[in-house]
Amino acid sequence: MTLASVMRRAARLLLVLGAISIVTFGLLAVMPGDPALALLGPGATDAAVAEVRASLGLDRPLIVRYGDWLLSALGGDLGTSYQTGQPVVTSLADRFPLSIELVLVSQIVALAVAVPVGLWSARRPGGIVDRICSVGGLGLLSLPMFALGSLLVYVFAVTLKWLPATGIPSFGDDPLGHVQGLILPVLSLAGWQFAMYAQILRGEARTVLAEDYIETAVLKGLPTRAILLRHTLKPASLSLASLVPITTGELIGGAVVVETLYALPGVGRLMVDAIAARDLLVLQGAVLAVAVVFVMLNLFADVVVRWLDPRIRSHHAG
Amino acid sequence: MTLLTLTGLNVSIADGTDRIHAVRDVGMTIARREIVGLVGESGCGKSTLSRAAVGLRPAGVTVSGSVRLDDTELLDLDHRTLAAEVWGRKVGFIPQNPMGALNPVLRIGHQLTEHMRRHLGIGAREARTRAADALAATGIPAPVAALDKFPHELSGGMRQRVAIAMALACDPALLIADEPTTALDVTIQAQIIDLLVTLCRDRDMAMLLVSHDLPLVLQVADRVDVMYAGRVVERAPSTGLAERRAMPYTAALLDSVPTLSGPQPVRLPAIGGTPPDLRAAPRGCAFAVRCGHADAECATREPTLQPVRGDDHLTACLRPLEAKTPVIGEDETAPETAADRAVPVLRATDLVLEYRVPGRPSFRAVDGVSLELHEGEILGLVGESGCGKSTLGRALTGLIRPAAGTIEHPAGETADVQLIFQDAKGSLNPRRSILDVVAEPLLYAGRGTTRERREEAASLLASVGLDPEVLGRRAPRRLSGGQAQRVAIARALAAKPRVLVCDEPVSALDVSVQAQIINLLMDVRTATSVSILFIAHDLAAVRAASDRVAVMYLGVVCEIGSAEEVLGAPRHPYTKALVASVPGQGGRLRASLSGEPPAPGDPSSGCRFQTRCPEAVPECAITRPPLVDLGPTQAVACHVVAPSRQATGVSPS
Repeated sequence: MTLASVMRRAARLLLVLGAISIVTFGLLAVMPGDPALALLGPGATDAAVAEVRASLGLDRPLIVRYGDWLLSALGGDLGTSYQTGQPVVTSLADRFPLSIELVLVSQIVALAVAVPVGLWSARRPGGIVDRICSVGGLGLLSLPMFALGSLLVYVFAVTLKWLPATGIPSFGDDPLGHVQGLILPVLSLAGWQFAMYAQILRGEARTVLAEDYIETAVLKGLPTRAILLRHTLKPASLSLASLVPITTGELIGGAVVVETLYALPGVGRLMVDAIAARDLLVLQGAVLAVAVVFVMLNLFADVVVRWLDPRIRSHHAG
Repeated sequence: MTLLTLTGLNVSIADGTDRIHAVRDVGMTIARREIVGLVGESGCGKSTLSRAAVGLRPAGVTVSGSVRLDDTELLDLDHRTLAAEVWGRKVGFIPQNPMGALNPVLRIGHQLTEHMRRHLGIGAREARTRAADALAATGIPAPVAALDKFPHELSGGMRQRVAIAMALACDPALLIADEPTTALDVTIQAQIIDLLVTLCRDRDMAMLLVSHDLPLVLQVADRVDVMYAGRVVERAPSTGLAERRAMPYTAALLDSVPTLSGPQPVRLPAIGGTPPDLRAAPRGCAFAVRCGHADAECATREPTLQPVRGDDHLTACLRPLEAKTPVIGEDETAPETAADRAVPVLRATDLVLEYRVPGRPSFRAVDGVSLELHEGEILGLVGESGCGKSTLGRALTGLIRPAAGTIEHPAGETADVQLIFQDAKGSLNPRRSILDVVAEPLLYAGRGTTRERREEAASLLASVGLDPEVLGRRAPRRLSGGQAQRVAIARALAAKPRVLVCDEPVSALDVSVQAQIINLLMDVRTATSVSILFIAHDLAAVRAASDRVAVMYLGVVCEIGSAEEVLGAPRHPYTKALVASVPGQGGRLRASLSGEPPAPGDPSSGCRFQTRCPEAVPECAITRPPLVDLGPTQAVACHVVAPSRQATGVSPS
């Protein structure tokens, strides 16, 4: 990709982030509830509320508050939590790694299972793998994430007692416990991802397998493995490559559910708690951070698609 | 010495709950170094046979009988063993469609070396060297550089050379070539066939050449097998088969191919009807219902291959023809057409058409073309891919706005040009019945009630030879290619056009169906006085259909005149080369034009054709030749043939 197109994309990224910050700020301003009241509790006097509002700067007009926030955000300071007084940047740095780990591992698990299953279903349509995967896939797709999560907890944590139901130690303190704690949340998140990827890949791979170049490859005497992994997977994974970043956005939403369900200290929980406490600046910072990740992922997917399809590469080259 | 022996080969393909018996009891041998042609209409089983002949049995396909390659029974081997020991190694396969036969996302070098490394047990470096050698042997310029390219960076002809190099890579004893030139331009087609024959001779390879093009096969194959409805119906040496053919089907195939020699026929002899449905074994001779020579016995007893003229000429026919009897179609005198009065209905003047791609210089597809289309005439427009003929056709319908120049309609308003596509089926809305498809233009013209429109659509369908009672309620996907093209023509006629632009209307069709559609277009012209622009790359089809012919090269018209003049006595060096590339003109096939057109949109100064022209003189590099009249109808743009003393009014600026 040329420098100019990277610059163009970076400029677009800034625009998107600016727009998101304005929208969240505005939403929070019109949202019912008052951070000062949330902080003080229901019995607070009007005078106390007014005092806290003043100390948090909430008595100033919205536009001034936004400008203030924007200026310090540009300097890398996203403000401090009304609730805890901790800098927002610090909370994010604490909470983000676990969420990223959760989402990344889920994506990898979903893809790692979906690729062989999808290719094999496409190779033998109506075969046993295909039938299991299309029925099971439909089941997974129609099961809400919290239902799947609860089911997994019931089976593996409550009944079998193989895995912890909630909480996760940090990797440094207890590597095995960390991995064990990750398994159920990852499975809950990856379930419908896998089902969707397998279905899409199966459809695409069936189209590719009917192409003339597959017959050419077969009659060159290539082994089936090479035909599926080299000649079929690459052209068939184009739509998957553009889908993965979009579903990653979905996964971040899913992480909110899963982190709440398994009591994991991720950014999803942080957002939920911030909403409950009307902790505007924390929420604002978290939403912005998620947006950055989402936009970067899309940029990355563009690069992958170009790598997958040389026709797109040369079309945009000029 | 025999290389491949097929005995009692039967192939059936699962189709829902039915089975299609695509190949029925075929025996065949191919000797070492022999080139055998396998010819027939689409659906006759020739492609299926060519795959079964190397032991390929995809899911749903059942093969029985015997396939022996050297001393190995291929039908006893499983897929894994065939892949490891036979395919790519002893047998090379050349696919039909060079656009689709190479994997678009893998580099040429990768696709050329992967099977070499597997079959020959060589390393990546040696495989690369050999791949470059194989590419060089197929005549690819700069073979080493080509290894790092992707398929889309090469032209169709170059891609087919790559596919051939792939098949040759492991020095197989047998090549299977399935329609290797069908998708290519006529000049490139001649080059590729030349190349295949030379390679077979030089490397002691045998080849099974599968094609629908009997004249082409007759010129290069030692022997020909003609297939119909899953059986071989005639087998003979190529030499003299055109005169000695015994089976009426072979004769019909030969006759329905338009040629460039002999008198221009008023109607092409077409084979009526369609091949039988092979779900059930036909009773009697499968061709009997379409055969002009069939009698009662033909309808009840299915003939087997028997010697007919000597031991090497066999036919499966109870009533074989005598040598050279005309079978179908008699000469008629041409009906008087409105074309003879030369009243212009469409006039393009100094037309320039450009495609704009953001961030690139715009690409000039048509660069200064002036043309007139007369009332009731069929004007053929020929040229290689990329010459701008389709772009010109679209512009005449008003779909593309010209960058310069004008399009006038001297005879009337503008909204009366209709377009007919190559992919007729793709041009019909799959969700509507055929009757509704044809009635739709009537709706937009605001004519009549729903019922009246349906009635008019039904009569239009009848006028193009389709039964509205049978087909009217059907969905377009259930039509054959020829039927779909008839529906497209009926729909175009519904708008009562003055001009029909037909863009490659017959190039996707079998020869017999092609002849039917050309006849239909000529009938339509006679009946309605519509003017037709007939765009095609097949010169013989254009000659059969057209009154006048224009030849395009890289965005300019280089020759125009009556079909007899331009294709019978061509004057421009490019037209001469095109005409010489067409198979079936007595002599052996000649690749008369080397090289490929330079990248379009990169106009060098002077004559566009100078880089490939055998007759170019220094002036050709300097100035662009204008179209100069050679007679009342013929005009040529060439410094050598027609020095431009008096430029005509229609010369490009």
